[in-house]
Parts: sequence; C-alpha cells; structure tokens
Amino acid sequence: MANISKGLIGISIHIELFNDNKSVCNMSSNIQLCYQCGKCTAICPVRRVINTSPRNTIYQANVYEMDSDDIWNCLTCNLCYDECPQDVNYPEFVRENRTKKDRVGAGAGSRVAHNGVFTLLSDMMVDLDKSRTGINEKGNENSKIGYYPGCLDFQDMFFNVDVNFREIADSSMELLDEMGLDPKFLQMKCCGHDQLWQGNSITFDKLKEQNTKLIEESGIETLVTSCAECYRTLSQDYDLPIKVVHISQLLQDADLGIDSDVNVTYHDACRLGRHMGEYDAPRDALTNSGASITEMKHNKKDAWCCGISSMMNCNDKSKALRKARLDEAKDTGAKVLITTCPKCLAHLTCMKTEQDSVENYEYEIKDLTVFLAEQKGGKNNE
Amino acid sequence: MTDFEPNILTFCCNWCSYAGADLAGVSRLQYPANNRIVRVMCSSRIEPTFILEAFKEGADGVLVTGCHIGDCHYIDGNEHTDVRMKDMVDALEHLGLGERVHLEWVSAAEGKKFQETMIDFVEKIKALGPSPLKHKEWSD
Amino acid sequence: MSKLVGAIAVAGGGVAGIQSAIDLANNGLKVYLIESSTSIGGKMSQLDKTFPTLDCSMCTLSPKLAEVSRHPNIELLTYSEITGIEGEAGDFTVTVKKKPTFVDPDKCTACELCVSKCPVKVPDEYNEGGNDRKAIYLAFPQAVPRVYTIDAENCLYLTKGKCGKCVKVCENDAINYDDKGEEIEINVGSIILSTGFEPFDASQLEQYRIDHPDVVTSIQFERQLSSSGPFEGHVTLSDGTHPKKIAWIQCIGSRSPEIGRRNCSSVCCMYATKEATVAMEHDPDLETTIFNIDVRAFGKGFEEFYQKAKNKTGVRFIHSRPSGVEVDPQTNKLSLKYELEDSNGIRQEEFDMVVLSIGLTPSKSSKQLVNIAGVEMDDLGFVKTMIDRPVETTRHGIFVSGSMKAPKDIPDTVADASGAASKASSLLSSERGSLVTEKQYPSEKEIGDEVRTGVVVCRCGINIGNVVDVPNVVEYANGLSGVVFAKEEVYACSSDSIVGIADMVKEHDLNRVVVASCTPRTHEPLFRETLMEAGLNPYMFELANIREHCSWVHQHEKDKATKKARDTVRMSVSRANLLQPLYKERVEFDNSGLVIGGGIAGMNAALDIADKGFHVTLVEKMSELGGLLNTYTTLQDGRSTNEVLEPLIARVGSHDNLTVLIDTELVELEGSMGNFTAHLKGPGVDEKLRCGVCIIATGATELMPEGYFSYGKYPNIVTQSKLEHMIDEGISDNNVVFIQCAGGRNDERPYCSRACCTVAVKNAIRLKKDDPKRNVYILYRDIRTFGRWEDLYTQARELGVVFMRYTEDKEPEVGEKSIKMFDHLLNMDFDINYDLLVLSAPLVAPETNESLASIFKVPLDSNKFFLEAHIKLRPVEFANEGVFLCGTAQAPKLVDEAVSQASAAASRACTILSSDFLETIGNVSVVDPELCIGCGRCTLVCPYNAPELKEIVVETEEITYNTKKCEINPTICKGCGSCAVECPTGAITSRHFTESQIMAVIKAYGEGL
Repeated sequence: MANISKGLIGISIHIELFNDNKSVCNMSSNIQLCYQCGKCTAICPVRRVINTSPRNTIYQANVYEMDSDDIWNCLTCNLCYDECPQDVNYPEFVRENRTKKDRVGAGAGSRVAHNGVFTLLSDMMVDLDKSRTGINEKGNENSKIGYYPGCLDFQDMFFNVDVNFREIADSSMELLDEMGLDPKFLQMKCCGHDQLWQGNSITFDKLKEQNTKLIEESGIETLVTSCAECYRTLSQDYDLPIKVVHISQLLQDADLGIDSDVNVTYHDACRLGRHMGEYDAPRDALTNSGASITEMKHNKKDAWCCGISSMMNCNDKSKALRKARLDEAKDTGAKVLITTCPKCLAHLTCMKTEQDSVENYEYEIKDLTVFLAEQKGGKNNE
Repeated sequence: MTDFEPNILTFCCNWCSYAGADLAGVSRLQYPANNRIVRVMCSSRIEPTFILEAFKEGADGVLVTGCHIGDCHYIDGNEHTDVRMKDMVDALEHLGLGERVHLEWVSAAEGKKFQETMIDFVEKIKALGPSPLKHKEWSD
Repeated sequence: MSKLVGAIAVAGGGVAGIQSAIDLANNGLKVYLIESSTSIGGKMSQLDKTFPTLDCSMCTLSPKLAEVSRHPNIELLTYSEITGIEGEAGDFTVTVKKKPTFVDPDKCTACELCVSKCPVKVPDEYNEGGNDRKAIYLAFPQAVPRVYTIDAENCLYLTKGKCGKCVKVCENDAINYDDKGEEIEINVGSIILSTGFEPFDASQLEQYRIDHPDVVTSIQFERQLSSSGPFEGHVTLSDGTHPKKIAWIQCIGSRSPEIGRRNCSSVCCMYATKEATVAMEHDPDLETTIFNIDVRAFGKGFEEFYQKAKNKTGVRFIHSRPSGVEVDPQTNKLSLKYELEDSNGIRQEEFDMVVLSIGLTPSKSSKQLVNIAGVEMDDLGFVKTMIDRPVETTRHGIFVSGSMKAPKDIPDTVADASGAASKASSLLSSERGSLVTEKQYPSEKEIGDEVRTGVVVCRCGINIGNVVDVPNVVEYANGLSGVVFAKEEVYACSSDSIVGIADMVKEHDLNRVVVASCTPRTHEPLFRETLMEAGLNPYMFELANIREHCSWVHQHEKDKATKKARDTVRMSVSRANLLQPLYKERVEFDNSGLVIGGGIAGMNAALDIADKGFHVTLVEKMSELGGLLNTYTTLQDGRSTNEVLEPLIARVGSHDNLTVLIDTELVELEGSMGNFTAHLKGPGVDEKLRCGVCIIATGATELMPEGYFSYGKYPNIVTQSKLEHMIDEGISDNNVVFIQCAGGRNDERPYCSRACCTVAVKNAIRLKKDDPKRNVYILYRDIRTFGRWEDLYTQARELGVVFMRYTEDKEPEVGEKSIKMFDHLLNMDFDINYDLLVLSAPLVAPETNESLASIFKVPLDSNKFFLEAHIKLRPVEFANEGVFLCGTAQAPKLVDEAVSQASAAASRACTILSSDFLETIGNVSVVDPELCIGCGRCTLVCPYNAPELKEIVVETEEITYNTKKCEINPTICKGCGSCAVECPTGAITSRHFTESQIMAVIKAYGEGL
C-alpha cells in the first residue's frame, strides 16, 4: 500500500467495501476494462495543474476497492473518456463515486465555490412548489417550443462578475422569435446539473421528477436551452418524451439576416462539445452570420477547459487552466471569444476582468446568443 | 392559522441594530417572543447562504438589520449589504419566499424602532402563514 | 522644569475630553478624565442626529465611551470636580473632589431593582426635563460608567431620613447612605481644560416666553426628536398633539451685545436646519420656518445642507428676527410678529411650537475652573488663546480645547481636543510609558481537540430570574453537545461570580465558556478578561443575551421567554464549540513621519511630531515654506502674517528631528500604516523614504475669479489677497467695494469658503482705519463671521463700513466705474461708484489633489477637497489607517483652525508612532493563498484598503504563471467581514465570525423549531 500511495495526493481509505465484484462490473463507467495505459492521466487537464491520476484512481478501485479523494478534483470534462482506448468513462465513474457514499453531495463541501449558494438554492427548490429559476417572462404560452433559461437570474445575483447573464435569455428569446419559432418561456426549477455532479443524487432525482412533470404539463414538444449544462442534463440525464436542443443547433441553419464581419474564436464548452458531440452547430451559426472564426490551438474534441465544472474547485490551480485558455484565445487575435455555456462565460470573464490584473486580454467574451443578437441589432441600427 | 407563531431569525450588526435591540430591552419595550438574534460585526458580513440556510432550517421570516446608511461603523459596509439584499430579495422571489425577508436600518438610539420592526414583521409573517419549507426533511 | 510627570488631567468628559483622553492614553500617558456629572458623553450624548450628514449621534459616540471605559491608561473620575491646581508645567498637583454617589461601584451590577422601587420623581436632566427620572438613577442608558447614583438633593432618606427602599431591595449591599465622597490629589505633568459650554438660559429673555410649554429650547427639541427621548421621537405639544407648524428663532443669547452675549454661537444655524430637516423627515406635512439674521452655514458640507433644506426639503428661511413670542391670552396660541424682508410689511403668524435656538455660553463651572487654573479669559468669557497657538492658555502646561475657548461644532472640537492632546504630550514626551502598567495574565493552557464548554446562566437578580425559568435553562444547557458543566449565578458579573467562573474553568478543565446574561456590548470585555485570568484565550468566550433581548422584552410571557432563552443558549453553545483562540499580532514598524505640504498646517504638524521625539520629513513642492499664508499679509487679530510665519519657518529649519525638502513632490507611495515607502522627487532629490505615518497638508488656493463680476475685464478689480498687499503698500482709492461669494456658493462651487467673510471684514476695518473718510461697501449674501469673529463685524459697522445684502438671483452687475446693485430691503436699484472693487473669492482645492488622492488611495469630496474618515468624530484622519490630513486640504478654514487641526493630525499620527509595535485586532480576516484567485473583489469592498493584491508566481504541475493574490494587512483590517462575503472561492475567512461558526448558529436555531 505504501508504494501505491506514494506520490499521490489525497488518498483516503474508506472502511466501506464493495459487497461483491458485481457492483464494479455493473457500473456504467466500464472501469473494469481499464488496462492501466495511463493515457487518461497524460491527457487530463487537471493533471497539468495538480498531481492527480485517473489511472491510479481507477486502479485502486478495481484492485483494492479503495476510494480516492482524487474523484473530487476531476473536471468531468470527458477528455479522457474521448481518448480512452477501452472506452472507460472516468467522468461517469467519478459521478457515481461522488454519489456513492451518501447521495447528498456532502463530499463536495468546501470545494464548492460561492459558498455553495447555487447548490443551496437548487436544494431549496425541491421543497418549494412555486420556485422557478426564471420569472417575469412568459413568451407565447401556447407555443410547442419552450425556451428554458436555466439559472441565469441566480447567476446575475450571485456571480458578481461583469456579465449580464439575463441578456442570454433575452437574446435567446429574441433570436427564437426572429426564426419565427415564437417560443414559450419555460418556468421550471433548476435542472440539477451541479447537484448531479457534486454527488447529490437525491436532490437531482427530485428536481428531475418535478421538472419532468412541469415539462409534461407545459405541452411543449421541443425544449430549447442556451446553456450547455442544461442541454446535457435534460437530454442525457432526464428521460424526457420530447426533443431537447441547444439553441446553437437551431441557429446553425437559421437565416437571421446578419452580416457580421467580426473575427471571433470559439470556446467549446465541455458539456456541449465532448459530452454531447456538438462542435459544428455553434461554429456554423457564427460563420452563417458572416463572422470569421480563428480557432484556438486546442479546439473541438481537444478543447481546453475553463477550469471549473459543477461550481467546484475554484482556486489558483484551476486558474492556471483559465489562464492557458485565455492565452490561447489571445493568440488567435480574435476580437471576441464566444462560448455557449454561462459558466465558462462567468469564469473566463472573472479572470479577464480581475482587478489590477497582471495579464491583459483585450478581446471581449460573449455568449453565442448575445453576440448574434448584438450583431443583428447593430445591423438594424445602421 | 390563528395560533400560528412564526419563527423569525434576525441578523444584527454589533454597532447599531444590536445596540438598538439592547436599548429596546433597557427601555422594557415589549415585543412578541418570535425572534432569535444572530450577531455579526457588520451587516456586510451576512452571506446570502446564511439567509437561505435560515429558511432551510425552518425560519418563517428573516430580518436583516444594520446601521443607517452613513452610520456604518465600517464606513460603508451597510451600502454593500443594501446591494446584496436587493439580490437576496430577488432570489427569494424566485423561490416564492420574497415577502419573508426584510432589511431594516436600526440605529443604536432606536430601541423603539427595533420594537416596532419586530411587531410589524411578526404580524406580516403571521398573515403570510408558515413557510412552505417548514418541517421538511432535508436528507435521509 | 525640574520634574516631569507622565500623567495628564483632562477636565471635562464631553466629546473634547474623551478625544483628548483617548489620544493621550494611546500616546502612552496616564490620563485622569475628570467629569462633574455622573457619566461622560457631554452634550453630544443628548443630540439626536448630527449635521450635515444626519448621522446618529449616539451611534458614533458610544464606541468612544466604551473605549474610554476600557482603556487601561485612563482613570475615570466622574461626579468629580477640580478644586485646586498647584505647581507648574511638568509637575502639577490637582485636587479633585469626588462627590458621594451613595452607590458602591464595585458592588452595583446595574440591575435597576432600586430604580423600580424608588418613590421619588425628578425632572430628567438628560431629556431636558421632558420626563422624570428617579432619585437613584443612571444618566442615560448608554452611560459610562454604568454605575447608579443617588441624587442627594432629592433622595427622601438623605433629605428626610425616611424611605430606605433602595437599601432593602439591593441584593448586593451596594447602597451606602454614609458615603461622604472624598478629596484626592493627583500628580500630573499637564492639564487640559475642556469643560465645554452651557446652553444660554432663555429665561433671561422673557419676551421669548420659554415659560410657555410649547416654547422649547433647541436642546429640548433635540431630545423630542430622539427616539430615546421623552416622546420616543414624536415631537409633541403640551396638549399631547403633534405640531403642524414650528418656528425656530435664531441667535437667542448670541449676537446680542445688549445682554452681553456678543459672539455668534457658530452651531445654531446648522442645528436648527438639521432639526427642521429631521422633524420634516418624521412628518412630511410639517411646516418649518427658521427666523435668522444670517444663515451661517460655513463648515464643510454645511452650505450644501442648507441649500438642500431650503430648496428640496422645504424649510422656510426668513431673514428677520421676531421681536418676541406672543401668546394669545384666550387661546394660548403662539404667534410671531416679524418684518418682511423685501418690503416694509409686517406679518403676524401663528405657530404651534416655537424653538429657541439658544447659544453656547461659557459655563459657570468653567469660569470657576478657569480661576482655579489661573488662566486668562478673553472679554467674551472664553479662555484666551492666540491664533497661532490655538490650544495653549496663558499658563504654561495648561491647555484648552473645544467650546471652552469659543463656540464650536463637534469636528472642530474633536480636532481641538486632539490638538491639545498633542501639545500636552509633547511637553511630556520623555515620560511616555512611565506611569502606565500592563496587566499580566497567566499563560494560556493547551486547548485539546475535545470541546469542553461551560455555561453560566445569570439570574441578574430578578431581571432575568423573574421571567426566565433559569434552573430549566441550566438543565437544558447541561444536555447540549459539548457542554460539560452548567450552573446558575445570581449576578454573573459580580466580583465573587467572576472568581467563580475562573474556578469553574479550572475545576472542569473547560476550554470554552458561555455566559447567558446580558449584552456583549457592555459585558463581553469583563468576561473575556475573566477567561484570561483563568488561562484561556479571551476569544473562547460567548455571551448569550437573555436579558436585553429576552427577559426585558418579554416580561409577561414567561414560557416563551424561557424557550427563547434555551434557544439562545443552544445557539451560543453551538458557536462557542467552534471558537478558536485568536491572537493579536505584533508587527514591526517605522516610527517616523512624512508631512506633505509646507504651509502653516504642514509646518505645525511636522513640528508637533518632531517635538514628541520622532523624526519627520516635511515635503514642500514650492521653493519656499509658508503656503497659502504667504499670499496674505495680516491675521484677523491684527498681527502680520510674518510675525507668525517667520519664527515658525525658523523652528522648522532648525529642529533636530525635522528634515525639510523644498521643490520636492511625492510621486509614489507603497505599503501601509507603519511601513510606507514614499518616493520623493525634485531637482536633486530622488529618494525612497520609509515612514510609518503620512499627513496630507497640501492646502488650498484662492480662486482667480475669472468671469465673475467683471474680474479680469477692468484693471481695478482685485481679490482679497491682492488687496492685503496693496494696503501694505498704501492705497489712495476713496470708494472701495467688496463683493462676497465671488465664484462661490454657486452651482459650480456649491460650498461656502468659510474664511472670506472674516477676511473681508478684517480688510474693511484696515481700510477704514487707514482712512476713516474712505467709503467701504460690502455686498454680501450672508455675513458669516462666526464665533468670536462676530466682534470684527460689529467693529466694522462701528467704523462705518456699509453692508448691503444681495441675493443669488439678483447679483450685482459690475461696470467699469460703477456697480448696479439691487437692494432688496428697499426694493430698489442703486448705482455704487467704485475706485477699487475687491472680490472675496473662495479657496479652491488644488488640481493636484486628484493625483495625490490616487497615490494615497484616499477619497476626495465633491468639491475635490480631501474627505476625512468621519465628518464629526474623525476629522483629521482617513479610513486608510496611517494617513491623516489637516488644514485647508480638508476644507477652507481660518488659521487657528488649521493650526489646531495640524496638532490634531500630529496627535493622531503619534498614537501610532509612540507604540512599541503595531498590534492587530484578533478577529481579522485572513486569506488562504491557494484558494485566492486574485480577482480583487475584496479590494473593492474593503473600506480600509486592507486587502492588497501582490504579484506572485504560481507554480503548478505544468503551468507556471504570474498573478496577483490578495494579502490582508492585519494591522489595517477591522474585522467587518465584508470581504469574506465578496470572495468567490471561500479563500477569505472572517475570524471569530467564520462561515462555519455562523452556519452552526443557524443550524442550532433550526434544531429548536
């Protein structure tokens, strides 16, 4: 044991053992297939900033049935899963293990940034029948297409970063209107993405159940999200009888009548890209509007991360990842960095706008929908 | 509903509103026994999660109190409280609890105002009825 | 001086005495603070709000009261009077007569049982007779010291030998009818007189009918406005209704030579404006009128406050003085008869209430004290001082501050008080620390991992015990997690209980203590000290307030109060269980000073620091010292400016502790209090100077009033400073006209420049004295010769200077030879021929203030003058610790005020320089560097600039990058905790109020629901 733990950080030995080997085999993460090639560790973005090893974590679980605190460091960005020759789904393993112990996400604890306010909010929503993430807007209540804003309003209240998050919802509704889709503004609870990935499956399951009911009652046939996390969660982790799309997939072929000449670069959010395989839609939406895209060195499947997922592990190590990403964007010379995930937007902007910064990033960082709505507005104003 | 006695949690800053509550006591100004007080040095110490947690724990109403604008012992801490509380009220409105939180400035000399604030807030929450979060199981 | 004693007697426990005492005590000197009444606090404790910011007076004052009562170097002698002063500077013997209080302060726990039983009712002085107090009483709820006193004149037992109820009811045997008081002698090195003023006795002016119940003095009205006053803040008439119409009459007992009160009282115009404003805030339908002669809104922010009251709030200002208050014999209604301003009309108007704005007069006790001290008074009855030595009396070693030397508002009083402290401590600088002792405590015992909390539930006699079921609470506490022992006490704060708590800690090996009794605001220091005596860290203590917040406010709901007490104890225990020992850090620092600006303020500040034995560097950007005063030639007392400047410059140049750098500017400043590095540049100077404190004394300049009243258009139009030089050189002009407020009190510069009226009147007198046949006209809006300078205004009129009022909507029009002036008293246009027109232009902030403000990271006000930390109580310091200001850099002012402020800034600065080390508070905020992402949001909310972003290199496994991270300077942090809320990553912990501690309290709250 001593040899194994050497060089690893944060190993903790849990008394709880697996009842039988079947439970390992039954895991959807396929970890029993791992042959310890270590490609995951080699490609892991987190490994670039802290001494973490997916391979060792899997190995420990397979051989010694031991837990590792390393599961809390994982970004669940899917880079390793994409690259794994054996299709071991390490992020899924991480999610299951975060959940395994107590199913209430207690292990995430102080790793959750913003004092856990977002988690607490979604926690409380479970027991508050009238709670909604977005209020004051209705859209066309009879529409078969529903737009779900996610937790943008809460982000405006508690992120305290120089971004108008609500503008994403407004821009999305505007663009959907422009496409003639006349959407309904879907008022429901938090999708539960962070709860799920922080290991709180009880809360997630309740939110899922309650939201599913709300969606069914709403009468919509297509659910549109502007958030990569909502998109992943509602389409993969819910069992909805209706179609779920990311707004970029609708914008991909839309004729918005925009003739932009801005040079942009596009940051793939892990939830939209590697988790859902959607790389082209946002790019097409941009180029169809006349924007030119200069790709960052790492893009699409290889894209580097914003450094935060499920609101966990915001610290000086993950900041190194943000810096690397912002530097790559700077190298493109683009005027605007576009993303499709409000959390990427928040965290990249947080670093870009920090006080008395050592680095200067001249470009703007915008959500895809806000960028397109502005380009459209700009054109109309001329 | 008539015998409903709301649970109120009140956050007080050390220098003004806590002193105002003290003065209410010194002056024997009676008010309903529904509130409990959490003392912080400055109202700007109050995290949004403190208020959410209070509701989660079963508070029917949460009062946040501090020095009047301009009186803050820490120059302008309460101005930050003011800004943060606007967000807090907005967040609680999204949760359907918006009317259950209230911000009030109470100076060290305003024992009477502390008493009145308590009486009024208890009445208000009584009219609203128990918090929908009351007696919920939070974990298994 | 043969002998120097390192102690100082401060006479008077008002805001002046308090400020002097705190400054001196923090300068390492022993202070005896002697106050004739039962509590310190003075007149400020009676005020509701303070102008011009409408701050709550008690809120800002009471922390100072607490600081005095806790300070180890201050000995409070209340209910005491000075009866003799012998000796000389450095070695005085002061005889103090302590009046009997008949209550043993060591035994009294302020339980108030005696008060409820005392049958005697006496008009309450604190509320100006608006309600009654008992014969045994505490002056006001926040009184310091919190010890009851029996009023011997009214006590039944002491006057008639009957009653004795208080003795029977007192459970601590604290009442002692045989108390005779005592006379003590104290040995001090110097004395500060600051016994303040006495409000003018309005009964001297019968025509203003103070005998009528609805005619009140301004201080009575102040109590009416106060929510802790007799009517809980609702202004109330004698019939119990609320007034709809109130009038203030100004200058009652001021500006009235006919009754021997010649001086202006300086504060009445503003307090009346404040009272009217606050009254209208209470009742927006109220009509308010202020009858005045001139509205003297001369201080910082005053003119703006006055204009707002007049134009926005709707206070009516009438330039007219009613002859008296008339009472209708039938209806008993009040009315005022006054002459209309713009015509010859007379009006009689009814009011529901009349407030007499009574002036500030020297008190009788002050006069006695002045006689005992053997210092000279001036002909107004105030203590005599000189413009350039504003806090020094005629007797060496005895200093004076506040309204004892002239009527003053609070900030001027506070500045004066610090100034007096500066001079007094300079005299005794060699004796610093000689008479102060530090209390020794046993070393702290090891705190193991096991939580062992002890709980003491106090009955407070019957205060808690009669309402809350104390045994039930004790039993409940015993069952709480972490609690190993719980007990009850009759009085937890009595001296035997205190010993008992220390014994309990030892016996049960406790590491945390919760006392459930009263408010931590008064009792936490006592119990913390108890813990220290028991070998525990003082921060391992928690108070559960079950008196002020429970038994006293739920007197008739015993079950609910008991439940609340249990909840409160449970919440407190949950927090106590998580408390951690905290330590004050000691930080090395540089004990030298830097003064920016070599005018009269800067030079005085530098000299005061140097006189206390610290090295100081004085930086002046011009090539000569003297600053603004170089542009004038005379002072308002008739002396030439050179008479003051020359010896001062000589002293500055020859002082061993003082380095002067002329032609030099500050270009950069790094570091913080105690450890600044200032980059100084000039021809031949390029040095980085280390210093512990900085004083900004960069002054102001006279506006060149281009575009106002044809200035620059015709040659014979000059400013006041130019006139002074012209008079010196001799002028022959026959008709000289002054126009006041030339370029001031307008939209561009909405402030009043304070000094110009006095300067103008001074120069008018000079012109008249130079040639009595010469015509001198002063065209003014309000003559603001405040305080003692009212005499100059009177003298000018005696000499035949003609004063004509103009209004801002009809300004005089200046032609080449004559001025067209609308006289609104006569409602006519006049032409005034002039040979010389002199414009009184305001002092303006130098343009360099903006860059200097950013170098120091300190704020400017809307007029670009530097903005002090608190307009009332911290007039010479910034929120940024270690940086101070004085003189006209803060706002326009007269020379004596600038000098007083300069000494004050030096005094405040030396409270830092005279310490052996800088000590932090325990509950500072700290940063976890690994979690800090350097976003800098903490820097945006901290009012003190305690968090600083410092560049570092972060090395991770593969990525190495430069970034900034926050460090919180523990010497600056005040522990408000706002930064911890702002921090997105949880990197900042607000010690003693940590997230986990507060969350534990909230969770414990939930357990009882």
